[in-house]
Amino acid sequence: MAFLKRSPWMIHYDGSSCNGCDIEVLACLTPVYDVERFGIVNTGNPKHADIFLLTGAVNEQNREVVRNIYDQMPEPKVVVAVGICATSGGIFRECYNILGGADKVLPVDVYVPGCAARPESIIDGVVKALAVLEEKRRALPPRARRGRRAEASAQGGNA
Amino acid sequence: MNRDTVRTVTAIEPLEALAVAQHRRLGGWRLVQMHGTRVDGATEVNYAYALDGALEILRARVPDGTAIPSITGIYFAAFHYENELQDLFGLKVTDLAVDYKGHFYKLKQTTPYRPDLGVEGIGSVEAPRVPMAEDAEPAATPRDAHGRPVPARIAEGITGNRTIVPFGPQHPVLPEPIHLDLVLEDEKVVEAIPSIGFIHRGLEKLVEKRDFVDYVYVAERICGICSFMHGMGYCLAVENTMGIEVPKRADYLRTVLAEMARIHNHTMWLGLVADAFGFESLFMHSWRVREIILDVFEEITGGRVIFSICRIGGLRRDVDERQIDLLMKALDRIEKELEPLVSAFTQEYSVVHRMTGVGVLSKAEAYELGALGPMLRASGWALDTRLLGYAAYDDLRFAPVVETAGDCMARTKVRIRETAQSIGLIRQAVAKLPPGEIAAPVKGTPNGEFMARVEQPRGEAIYYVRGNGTRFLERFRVRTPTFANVPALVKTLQGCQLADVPMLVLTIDPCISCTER
Amino acid sequence: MNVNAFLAAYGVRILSAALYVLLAPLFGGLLAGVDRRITARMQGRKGPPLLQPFYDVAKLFEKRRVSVNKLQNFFVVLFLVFLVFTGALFFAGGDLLLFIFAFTLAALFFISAAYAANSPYSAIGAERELLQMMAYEPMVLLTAVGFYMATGSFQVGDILFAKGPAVASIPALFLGFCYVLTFKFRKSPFDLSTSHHGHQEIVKGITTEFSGSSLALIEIAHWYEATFLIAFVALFFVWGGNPWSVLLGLGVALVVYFLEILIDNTFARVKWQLAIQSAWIVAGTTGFLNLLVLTLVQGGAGWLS
Repeated sequence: MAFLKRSPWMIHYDGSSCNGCDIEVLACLTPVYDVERFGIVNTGNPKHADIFLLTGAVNEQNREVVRNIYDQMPEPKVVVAVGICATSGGIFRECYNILGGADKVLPVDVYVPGCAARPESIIDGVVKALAVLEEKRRALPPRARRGRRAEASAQGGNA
Repeated sequence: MNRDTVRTVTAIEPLEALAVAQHRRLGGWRLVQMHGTRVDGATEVNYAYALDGALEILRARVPDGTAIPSITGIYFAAFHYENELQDLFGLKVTDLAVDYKGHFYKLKQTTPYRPDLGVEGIGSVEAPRVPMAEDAEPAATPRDAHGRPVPARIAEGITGNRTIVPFGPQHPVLPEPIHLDLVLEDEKVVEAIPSIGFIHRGLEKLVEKRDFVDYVYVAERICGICSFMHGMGYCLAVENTMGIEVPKRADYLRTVLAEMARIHNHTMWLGLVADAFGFESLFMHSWRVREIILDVFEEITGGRVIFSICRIGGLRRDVDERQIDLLMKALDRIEKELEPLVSAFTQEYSVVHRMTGVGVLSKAEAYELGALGPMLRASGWALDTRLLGYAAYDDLRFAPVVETAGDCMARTKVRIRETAQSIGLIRQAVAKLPPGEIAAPVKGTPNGEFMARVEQPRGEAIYYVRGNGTRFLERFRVRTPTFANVPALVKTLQGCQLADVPMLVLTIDPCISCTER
Repeated sequence: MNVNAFLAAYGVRILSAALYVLLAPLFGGLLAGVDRRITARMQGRKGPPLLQPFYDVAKLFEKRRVSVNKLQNFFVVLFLVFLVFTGALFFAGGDLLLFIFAFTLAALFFISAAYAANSPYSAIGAERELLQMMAYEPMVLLTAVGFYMATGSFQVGDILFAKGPAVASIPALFLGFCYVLTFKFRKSPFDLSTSHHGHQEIVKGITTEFSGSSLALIEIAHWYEATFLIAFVALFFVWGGNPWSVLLGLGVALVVYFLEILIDNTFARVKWQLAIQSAWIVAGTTGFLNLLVLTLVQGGAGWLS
């Protein structure tokens, strides 16, 4: 059964955004937009999260942080790049300290446009991400998440 | 034009900086900011001091390869600026109180203003220690199992009765990344070591690649929360450099939009601080109120957080009767809906228990550490840059909101009262709103320099612009209020309880995006 | 003793415990769903579907397991097993003291699991959980003593058939118990060790390092826990084996739970000092005064027996 779709927990990290997209991500949680209607919870803890919302471009110092958060999330997981900066670097693309969009460091599944991305489009992006999440769940070896042996072999396979 | 006219630029020798700082300190001046500019193969270091309306810039020309003395012994808060000079200009600063050795921002490209220095930069990699009151360095360098030296701060955590809790950069109570290493004894924080630079973009240097008229959009995106005022501050600086007279109506509308931004910021902050002490429903309701003002923003400008309505010479769009009417209704609604929230913040038992007497910053300390905005006013200083009378503030009646307790509760009260003040200011401005043009034509290119000061929701922000007669500015520099408030934060964190850390971080109303640009 | 005699003597008890083991997750999960709905409404939001807690747990089982070490998961399983045992003991009409000891043991396994994870956040969460135990344990023990004083027995089976509702003679203890329930339900102002929403200085505190199926087991354990805590509150109102009194008790317990949600939404999280102080002061005043009065009035245990 596909319960992942009904209970996506997200984690949000501010790459080097101007805050515009960040407060819009937070605004999604509050009464006007209330994403908990869809079972979406902002966990703030990578180990509990299924969806990684990244706002802002990636720079030299935070690439490790972003990578770290992603690695701590258990499979299956998806990455949503929120806003134009996370997509391509946006207006800051030519700044000396910017590496570029989130896809320089992570495999991005969904790009949400906008500067700043509106809460509606962020929610839309998350919903699109759910379909990707479901695909990834199906692709996961069925016993990988249970048995210790299966997990060990899966890790071996990845390496 | 504003009353902020008493401004002087004086050339000094690099070594004179110390004596001058001492003198200004005795005279009660504030160190407003420091910045560097590259001029003809040398670095100009600018020290800006302010006393009431007076603004004084002292300019030292430092030839390459020369070190400058640190003034952190006199103005501790200068350590930020001086570390930044080391990072961006490869300038050596001696006797720096907290020396990040060129790794303040951890840049992709070291010393971006001195590309000739190459990748070496100037320093070692070790992060610094913030010196604390009862602090003693361990005698020998501790080593780990592989014989590598262990940074002193980590070693202490292992050997002593202490735990180190990393706080950030990703942390649920922080909407933005800042990293603090909290050294704990049980639940008591004995030391807090900040490291920043997670969202440094380097947008000041982008001014060399963008037309000065287009750069407003970049300036606005210094921060998505204070976006309007960043755009306005940049415009004020450029307009003053070029001598453009902004139409009265645009001045009034800018004031209205700036105060709307303040309401937006403060209601948002109320929610975040409630979240920090675990009061989720108060967070939700504060943000519900915030949406009311965002709707008006959207109606007037088309954007919720980034507006792009400010332009050099005035505004891009006018406001009609219907929009004014919507704004007035929104203000009434905010006033009404904020009332029960205010009583929860100021009277509810557990909230009062959590905020009263926590994170006290005395009047002397607030000055010493260079605190700004609500942080400063909560410690008893009646300092508000709006009194300088930029935009339409000269025609409006208001007095700075001051509290004296200096604790978290006082800061909350200052922001609550400022929200009410902003509502009042908008009503005054709308009542006097003159008819006419909303933008003056922009002719020619900026040649000269100007330092504009604007009161952001978080405190005074500085916009320095220097043009050379081309369409690309030579230097743009912004000093944001959070940048100046971080030393005060480090001070209040010493000796606090772990449970208070999120609240203390939030009471400076941190805007890391502003800070690191 | 032959099988028939055994069943006659213990049949009802075994049945009741078995029903608990089967149905408690259902009840606990629904309660959590209702809780999230009501909380959302209090915050001006619509809230998730009623069955959301079930979706969450099912989802967690779908995730790949990432654990810091094996010991951690072992402790989590013990935590769940002992919570189920604790509840079964209660529903089988067992001894209240044994119930409390089993309950404490379960909590200790949970704390051990968090310590085993060896991360600063979960370690501080575990420390805080220990502090919370210090805060509520005295009140829980006093309540058991109160039941004995009121009904003359520590056996839940006997208390059910007492002459009158226990709350009649230990009303102050009832209030005190409700006070410490806030700790057990992990509601604000006493959600120090972990919180239902993750916006805390220690992230998710004690549960920070758990993910996937182990987090799901913790969630299910909390459903079991919530169920027998509700039943414990109801026990104050039951007498003479009267089914209507059971319904009354259940009704009161649900009202108490609603008040817990209300309190959760009208208080900030307090610091541990105030949490412990206030819990002990409440235990001291309500507990001792109530027991003292009871002793003076009836001159001994078993007033209602």
